[in-house]
Amino acid sequence: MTDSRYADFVLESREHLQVFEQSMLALEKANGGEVADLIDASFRVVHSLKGNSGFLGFHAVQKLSHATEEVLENYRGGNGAPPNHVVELLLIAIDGLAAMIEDLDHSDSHDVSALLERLRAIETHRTSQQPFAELRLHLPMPPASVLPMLRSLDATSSVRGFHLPSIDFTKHVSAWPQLHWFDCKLVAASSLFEVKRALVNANRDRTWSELGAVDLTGMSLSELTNALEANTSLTDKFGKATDLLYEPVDFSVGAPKAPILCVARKRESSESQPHYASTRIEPSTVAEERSVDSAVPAPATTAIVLPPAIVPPPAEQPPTRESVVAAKSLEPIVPSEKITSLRIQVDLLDRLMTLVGELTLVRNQSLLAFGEIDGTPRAIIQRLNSVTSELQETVLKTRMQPVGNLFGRFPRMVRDLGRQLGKQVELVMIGQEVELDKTVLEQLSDPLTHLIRNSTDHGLETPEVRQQAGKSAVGKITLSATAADGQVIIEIRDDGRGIDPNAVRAKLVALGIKTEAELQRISSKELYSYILLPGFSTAKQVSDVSGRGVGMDVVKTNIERLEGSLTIDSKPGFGTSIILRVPLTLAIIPCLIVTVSDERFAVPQRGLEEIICLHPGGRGAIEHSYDEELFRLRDTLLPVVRLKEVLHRNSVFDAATKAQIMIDNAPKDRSPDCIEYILVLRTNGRKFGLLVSDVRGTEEVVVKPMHPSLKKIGIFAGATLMGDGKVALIANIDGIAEHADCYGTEPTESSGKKERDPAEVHRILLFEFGPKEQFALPLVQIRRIESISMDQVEQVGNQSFITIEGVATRIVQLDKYLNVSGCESKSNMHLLLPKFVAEPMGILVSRIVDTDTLAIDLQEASVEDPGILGTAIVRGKLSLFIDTQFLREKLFGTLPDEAISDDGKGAMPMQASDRRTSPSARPVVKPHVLLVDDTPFFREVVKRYFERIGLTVTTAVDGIDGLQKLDSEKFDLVVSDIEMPNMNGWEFCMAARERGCQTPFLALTSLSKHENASKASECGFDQFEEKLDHDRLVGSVRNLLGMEQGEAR
Amino acid sequence: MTGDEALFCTFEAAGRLFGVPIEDIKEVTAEVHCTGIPHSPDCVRGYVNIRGQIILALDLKRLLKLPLDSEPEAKRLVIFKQVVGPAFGLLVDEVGEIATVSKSNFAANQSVHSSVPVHGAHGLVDRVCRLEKQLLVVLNPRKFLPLIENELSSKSSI
Repeated sequence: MTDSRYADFVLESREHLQVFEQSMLALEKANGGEVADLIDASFRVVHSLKGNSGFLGFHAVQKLSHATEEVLENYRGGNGAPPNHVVELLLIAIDGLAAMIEDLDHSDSHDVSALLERLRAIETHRTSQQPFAELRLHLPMPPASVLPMLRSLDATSSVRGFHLPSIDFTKHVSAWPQLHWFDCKLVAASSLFEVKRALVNANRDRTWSELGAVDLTGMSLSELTNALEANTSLTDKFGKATDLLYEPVDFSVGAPKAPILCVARKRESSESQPHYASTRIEPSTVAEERSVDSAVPAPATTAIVLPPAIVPPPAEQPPTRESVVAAKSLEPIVPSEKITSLRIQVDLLDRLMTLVGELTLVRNQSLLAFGEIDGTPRAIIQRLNSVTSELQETVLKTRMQPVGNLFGRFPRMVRDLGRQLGKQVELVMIGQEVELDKTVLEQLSDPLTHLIRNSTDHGLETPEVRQQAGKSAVGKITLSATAADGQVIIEIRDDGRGIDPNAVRAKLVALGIKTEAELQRISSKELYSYILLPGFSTAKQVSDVSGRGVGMDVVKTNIERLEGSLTIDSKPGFGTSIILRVPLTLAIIPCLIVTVSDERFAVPQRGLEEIICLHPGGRGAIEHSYDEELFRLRDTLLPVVRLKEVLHRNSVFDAATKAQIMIDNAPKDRSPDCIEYILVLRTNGRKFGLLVSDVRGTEEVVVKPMHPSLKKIGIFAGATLMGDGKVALIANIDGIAEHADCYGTEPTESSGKKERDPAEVHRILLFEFGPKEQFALPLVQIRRIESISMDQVEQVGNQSFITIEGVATRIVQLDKYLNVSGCESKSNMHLLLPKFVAEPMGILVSRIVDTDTLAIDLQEASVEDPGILGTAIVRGKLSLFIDTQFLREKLFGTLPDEAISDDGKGAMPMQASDRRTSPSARPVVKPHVLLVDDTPFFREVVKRYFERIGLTVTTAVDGIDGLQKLDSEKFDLVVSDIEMPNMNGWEFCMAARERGCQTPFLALTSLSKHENASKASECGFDQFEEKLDHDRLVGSVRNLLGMEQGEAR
Repeated sequence: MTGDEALFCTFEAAGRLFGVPIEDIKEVTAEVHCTGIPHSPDCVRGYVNIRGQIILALDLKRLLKLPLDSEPEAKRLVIFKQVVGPAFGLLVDEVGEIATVSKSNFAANQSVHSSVPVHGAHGLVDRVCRLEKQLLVVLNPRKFLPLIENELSSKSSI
């Protein structure tokens, strides 16, 4: 680019063209009202483009945008959607414009004449521009404010040169100083609403809002004019600062037949609630409407409902339905477009980041300096502290951009590709508002483009093939983004042919990667992971779109560079799903702070699976193979890399180095009180243990890249500033593994089954109370663990309380409620604060044993105790799973009935309740619920919840099982998990609905409600609840069953 | 400063006087905590935090392979401007005065270059100037970082 002045123009034009393109593509699906909006949107941007390019002297751009604008002009004002050939041509024009903008210096040398010719050919069919009618519009504001407003109309380009395309504002100019109205011409099709919207749009300071109303039913246009004028006097009565708002009226079909409602709202009302007033003007009385006085005594035809605050003499008319209708009609109002975003140089943001970093340090130093002083300075420093933290967060947010910015380009790509390949493709995009760091977003662009191309080219079949397979001719690609746990998960799912596992197997054998025998043993998911190998493509022929076998490898590399991961799943015949997980930001990452030889290092937590503490004489120890140190991690052998040795030896480990390390670290040399830690890390398909001397805790660190001169040092990913102002290095796990020449355990395990199937595996906390039993509780049920000193415990009667965060919290001693051993008294104990319990309570724990990740195989009823959900063998020890809801009910008695029999089947409460309600009206039948969940643990927990409120529960282990149960029995409610093997909850619900099942469905899942609620209702679910939130779940279930709150039938 | 004079910021290391053109220097700070960077060449002392910016600190004595024994640890960090190289500085024992050297003076001394006993640091020393009491060794800080990069790549190629 020759001139930096044009940089802004190019940036802005790119955005404009993007908007245009999106609008055009949306047009193909839009309905009536949307069409007008889309046309308007595209018209505006082309108009701006025309103006800007003309101003800067890019004549070719100006000409082409002008021609485009002219074509669009024909379809404004409710003339319907342009036919496909026009849209096609407009898209070509946009491509032409884009090409010129990208090559501004030579834009004038582009030959656009052919294109202009074609555009003009369309344009000649334009409709006549004869004035359709004339209107006098009243503007309830002084002329002084009308003028700038009309000027801004021009600036927004929604109206050209004081013209709406359909309204001529020029006639009234002279009248302004005296009159608060102006005349406008309605040309061809137009609507009052459009005029109004243009005015509202233009009025950017939003000082005026909606106001007084007219009913224009069946009026001729002259009557209409009069009515509007009459309304003038009405609004004058309302007060000086009122505003008119009309619902959309299409005058192209003649005078309106339905009532036009127009709403008045007083702007300067002192109350927070705006006052609405509505007026209904019958055409016959329009003449009388010229004064309020004549309108009021004619209640049969006119109703004015005004709050006394607005009209001094209280109106006698009772509130009528009109007022409600009027209030409703406020909703479709297009909000005025205020400037809410600015373009900022990235450099500036980076500078801001640095400054905030400095501020943080000053803050930290101040905290230290004023640490001992009480009084005023302390308060000031604390304030500084909170402001700094907030500032830092805000500045970080400035780097975030919605993924929609990236997704925006795909509809066009998919559409064009589809045409090229002769396929019909529908691209569904979900979660465009999810935000990602700018850098991450930029680096995602290529991989996503590749993946979507792949899906379109290889994934989807041609319409004929699809129809033969009994699918709809239109292939569907779903691109969705969801945020979870500091990561963004992007899924590209198609409903195409899927990946043929046999083709993958054959290719693997052909390439000599695996033998037939080996292939027998690997799972399908693992099989698909080989697609990511370089040179691997199962496409039978290379197309010009994809299939050269380099793509997936590149995608994988790019994603991993972002510290992300990629997994593939596919069902032959049903489609393929590719899931990318990327971090929200590269600027800040959660790290584990460890020390080695008293130096701190930050280890990114992304690859961290667990931490093992090595006590001398403890359970595990490092053992030796011929040249590697290994640790027995459950049933696998984990190679161990000593961070200390990696740091001290600066050449890549060879056999001699490894041997030396083993000699240096011979077990006999270890002092008996030396405790070390092994971080179990997973990276790039391998898993290894990193031995460090101490673990200090976790911290969110701001990543600064390594100095450019030190890029060659592979073991570090960057540096960061710690709270004390010193620098710590951030370890590069990959680099360390490479440096240590450690290839880790088989990738099979590494790809993380636990991550993909969260429902099957749980992280649980193991703890003890009495000396005899080991208890367990899933981490998802725990809010926090507090360390408490027993002297703080207060006794009230036979209940113990402790104050936590100012709340008196009931302490549960397990031996009081469960048939378990008592606890020896210790001065320091722990308190588990459970989640999903509204009342303050904590479970007293004498010792936290550990956390573990495992698939819980819950054994039911091996212990006869209502407070025990079941038992499982964890680490060779029988562990009791506690029912927190049971304890809560014991303590607070919030369950519907205290009278629940101990077997929890709720027989008694049912009778009790039926006595309360009318027994005759309701047969004594317990509602029957089908509970579908693949996890034995959750199945048991939720079943208990339900049984306790008096429901009969039948369980099924997955969607297929569920369908069978649905066929054989009758249910009042189906509660289903989403993530299940064989058939997931979405499929289950859709299948059930397809079979005509009318039973209410409730989705019960650990997925985020926010992201999935709409999908749930699409699939046919009636409700969506989060797992383990007892109160909400029970409430929803009662609701769906039509049970009253607190009622236990 | 007249046209034929140049200003040098001088500093001492191992008892000798060194200087860099004053226009290359951004600031001089007091001793700061330095975080060592494993695997980096000897002359890299590590990262220091200067008001939120991470600066790579090089050790003058190790860079020039000067004797280290019985010398006090470096006390000051001379930070160079961005035009000299990205975010780096030089740890020196003590910062001295600003030396004004007339161009004629150091021009006459350019031939002395080879007589300065600096081994394996070719290019780091620009010229040597004769001041009243001692010699001033003028360094070229632009050569520091490339030296480190060379050292790193020669090691990785082994």
